[in-house]
Amino acid sequence: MTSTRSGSRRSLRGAAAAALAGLLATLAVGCDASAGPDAVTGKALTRGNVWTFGLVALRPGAQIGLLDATVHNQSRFPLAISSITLTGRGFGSVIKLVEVKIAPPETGRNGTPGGAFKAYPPTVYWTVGGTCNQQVLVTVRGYRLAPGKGARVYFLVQAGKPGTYHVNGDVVRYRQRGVSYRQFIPTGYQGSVATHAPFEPVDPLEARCIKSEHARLLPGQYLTKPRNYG
Amino acid sequence: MPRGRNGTRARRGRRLFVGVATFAAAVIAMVVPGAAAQATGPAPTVLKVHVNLPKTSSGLEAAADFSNAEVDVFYQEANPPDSYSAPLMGTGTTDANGNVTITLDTSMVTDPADLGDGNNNAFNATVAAIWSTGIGTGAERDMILTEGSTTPITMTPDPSETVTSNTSFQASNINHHVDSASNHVPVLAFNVGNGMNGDFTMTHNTSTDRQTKVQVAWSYSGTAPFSVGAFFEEQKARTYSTTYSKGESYGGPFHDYVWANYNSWKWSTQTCGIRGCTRVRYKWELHDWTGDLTNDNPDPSCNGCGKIGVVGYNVPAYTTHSDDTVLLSPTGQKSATRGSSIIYSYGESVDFAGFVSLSAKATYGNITSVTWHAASSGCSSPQSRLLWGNGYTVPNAPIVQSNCFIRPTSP
Repeated sequence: MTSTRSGSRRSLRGAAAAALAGLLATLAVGCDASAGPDAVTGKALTRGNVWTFGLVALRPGAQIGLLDATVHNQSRFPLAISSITLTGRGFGSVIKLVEVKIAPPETGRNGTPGGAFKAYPPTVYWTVGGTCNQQVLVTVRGYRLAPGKGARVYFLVQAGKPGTYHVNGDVVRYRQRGVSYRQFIPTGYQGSVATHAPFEPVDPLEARCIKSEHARLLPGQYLTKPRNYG
Repeated sequence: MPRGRNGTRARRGRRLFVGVATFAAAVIAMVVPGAAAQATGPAPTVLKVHVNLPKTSSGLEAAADFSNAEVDVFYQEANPPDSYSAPLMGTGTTDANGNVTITLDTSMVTDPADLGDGNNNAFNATVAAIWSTGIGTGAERDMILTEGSTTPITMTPDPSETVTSNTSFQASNINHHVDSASNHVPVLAFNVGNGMNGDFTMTHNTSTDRQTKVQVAWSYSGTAPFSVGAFFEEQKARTYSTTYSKGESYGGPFHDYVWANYNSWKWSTQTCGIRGCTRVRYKWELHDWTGDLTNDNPDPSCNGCGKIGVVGYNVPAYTTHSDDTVLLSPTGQKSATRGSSIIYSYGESVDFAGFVSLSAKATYGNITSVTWHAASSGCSSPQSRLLWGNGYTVPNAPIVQSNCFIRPTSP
């Protein structure tokens, strides 16, 4: 009898613990662990169209810089970016995020077109001006967007384990009028990581400016094919 | 005593469990978006209608107040047969302010279309408003609605409409297919620069099979002139998959409009509310895609005119910020796919035994997409393969420009 009652108490305590565990699990799923507890879906940023950029195959450990996504404040109030990350299949395993920066709107030599860059920071020869341009990159956290203003987002990613990935967009967290928001921007990337991915040289317009602009080649990127590349 | 103590502990345990469970349920309802909604089902599909008053021939308002206008909403089914009676989704009567909110029965909605946002929730509907019998006392409107959304509309009496009494006192919308026509619909301003290949794909899958919409052309007589109505989704599910490829591997750069060949169906329709029936209307509606995509439109542009033929897209002068371009390169970012929620409206002149200017909305989504690939040749330094948006960043551009050129100067 006593044993049964004790079992009953244990079962009730177990049920309470299970309910709490279920609650915590549900909260984790409902809030999205990557978003944190302050995740309110926002609409201040222009969602834009669905774009997927295809990248050349990378070898494990190789890095590449991606400058395609934008953040544009379409609301009537200023906002401050808190963080930006990628999301999608293979993110975190096949492809990993090394660094995120804001590329503010620039003129003259301080800006580059969008695309994938193999040097850091993005550097490219500007034929018309006969100069080398290098994109200014600034810290994401605290970057302010006034109403109607926009900027581009630079993702430095690194190839992880072999496989394919399809990053379907980026998740932007920002604060506006004292409230934290998260918003999905559907600019994504797809490609593969392979141990024997073929050698792809640095674009000539990019290569000719690396030295003069003191840019550095990203890990796993080469101007000419290394002898032992395979 | 022991039993009492154990009983007390058991009750405390039960209270603890009930308390935790109640707390958990409350917190889940507060924190998890949609948890409460899931408990009560999906969001309702609602039409919020405001009516304007009928006017007399002298322009004065014929009714004293806005109340008591009948509004009926009919579901225009996907893949319709040659003759059908559209199911009634909801009905209501306006209040003194001319307003009525109708929650629609969407149980009959099958095979909804995707407006490009990845949600299969759009369907065609016909809304009729009937104030009374007589001249200028009815109105009818076709429209695309989405499940789970609230859509506001205003109905204004049509002075050409004559409402006759309905002896059956049953609301109905009867449709008969009476004619067909083949027309090419503009679906893309397709730009592929030197050193690039472009694939424009129209297809279908198990969850999405309709994504193009064109305005309805209608008349009371069935002959020209036709009036331009609202947009309707293509009626029949796509059964073809076609990729239209142009660019470096297909003869060089390409800057033309692309047309999709659709069959349009002419319908004879009559709508009745409980208190009266509107006049028979004839409507041309986009029916089915034949699977053909072309830049050479064989349709005539007017009565007696030759074929429309190839219509080139005039690439605008580059005026946008130079950094808003996106580089494609065979050694880095080698492709870009737009499968997007944006819709772009193209004008067209369509021959329905009498020409009418309509608009087609090309929607890019998971079954209508464009991919640009960097070819290995055809664009060499100092030029670059660039996508650009003509005043927009590439991700936000309504029409994507594609050229191999020397990146222009910054403004």
